[in-house]
Amino acid sequence: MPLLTDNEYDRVMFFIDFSNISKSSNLNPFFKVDLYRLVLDLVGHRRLMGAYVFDSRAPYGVEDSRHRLHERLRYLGFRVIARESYDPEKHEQKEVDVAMACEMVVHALRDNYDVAIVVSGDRDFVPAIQHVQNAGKRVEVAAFEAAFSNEMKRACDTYHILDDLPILSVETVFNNVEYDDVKEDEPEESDGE
Amino acid sequence: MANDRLDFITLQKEYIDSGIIDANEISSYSGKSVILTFSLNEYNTLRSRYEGKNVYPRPGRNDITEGTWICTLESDRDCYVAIPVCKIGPSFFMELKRSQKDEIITALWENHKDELIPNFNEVYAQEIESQIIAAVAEKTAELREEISILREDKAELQKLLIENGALLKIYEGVNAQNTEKKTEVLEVEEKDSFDVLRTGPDEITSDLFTESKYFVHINDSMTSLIIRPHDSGRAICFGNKIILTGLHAVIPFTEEYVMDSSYDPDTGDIRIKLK
Repeated sequence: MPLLTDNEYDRVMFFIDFSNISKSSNLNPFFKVDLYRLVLDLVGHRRLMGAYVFDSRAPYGVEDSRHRLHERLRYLGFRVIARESYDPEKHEQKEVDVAMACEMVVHALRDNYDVAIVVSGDRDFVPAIQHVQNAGKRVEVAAFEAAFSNEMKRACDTYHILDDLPILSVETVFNNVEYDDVKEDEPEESDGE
Repeated sequence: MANDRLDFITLQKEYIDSGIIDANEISSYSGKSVILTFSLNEYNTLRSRYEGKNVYPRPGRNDITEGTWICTLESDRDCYVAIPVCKIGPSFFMELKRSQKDEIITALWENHKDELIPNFNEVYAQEIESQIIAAVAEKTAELREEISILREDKAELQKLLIENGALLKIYEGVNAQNTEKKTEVLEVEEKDSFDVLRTGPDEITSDLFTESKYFVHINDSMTSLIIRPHDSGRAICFGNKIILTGLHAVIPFTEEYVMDSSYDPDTGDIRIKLK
């Protein structure tokens, strides 16, 4: 039984560590995490004040496959903060976690939300979570079980295991001949009379 | 000044001495005042008639002209001599007071109606007739304009009637469809379960799949699938079949089978248990 209950008038703000969530989901190449669905399912009937997505990107002038994804997220209403800080040699991104922690704390001190939902299982965010709680805000954490650290579960007020939430998008991709059977059911073309 | 008494005779004498008035005129002012109409006779002489006698202007008085005059008469053997006082014309009449005008008009009408009516008819008939014609023409034009406006309104109303009739048929058709859909929904709600068939490696089929696009989501543990109809969905449906790319990686396909599914009539969501 949860200690704290949700209120419809709660102001909710999301802080999503995109790389953490993407890597920790099932490595099925056909299914992708649908952040839009994720936010809708977690916010419920509460008021959404904003949803931040933190990721890295390639320097300007270098082709980046994630640019299209970032633009699509921005089109959906997400505030994408992409730090130009990817280290290709070490295959890790810098500055992103700190940027996300700073954003969480600053918004809390400015009283821009009542509940912060951190979508990441990385324990690096524990100090930021504690400072947000000291500012009188509630913190919920959501992550996949495989990437959910116990420290995060202990630090937050409520946590959500994403494994059972249907948030991976399944799409139709037409690129092979496996669907010839389906074509037999297609309506016959008219003779143009 | 107020105590001065007006001696008219003395005043008259002073006027005669100063030449303002002629002594001969004063002597003749003992005659009656009459209204006479003077006109030129066959000898081109100005003349009028009074009590059977001719009346001529006083010699030396050239101010009398043809027309009607108030004048004073002096008897002179077998005729009268007229001394003009003033000419009666339209301006004279217009300078009268309103009450005086009304009095004259009433007297004229009551005493000379039989003479006046033919004159009025003759003089004003044409004017009245032209006024009547103009008024009738104006009224006719107004009425014709109103009629044309009414005809336009009638045509517009007929057009609206036709359009509304067509719209009504469309609405009736839509209403009938909605009623059918409601009936379908009610029929679905009455069912405890419905069939969703796995008909291919990445294909599922059901009679409930009637929309063209769906949002389909699966959980990370690959145990359940949720299907929601939506115009922006990224799973395409046609012929009651939805293609789910990658489904074969979750559950291998060997043969057709009925999947464990449930339908939520409130949200329209279809949930399928995979494992």
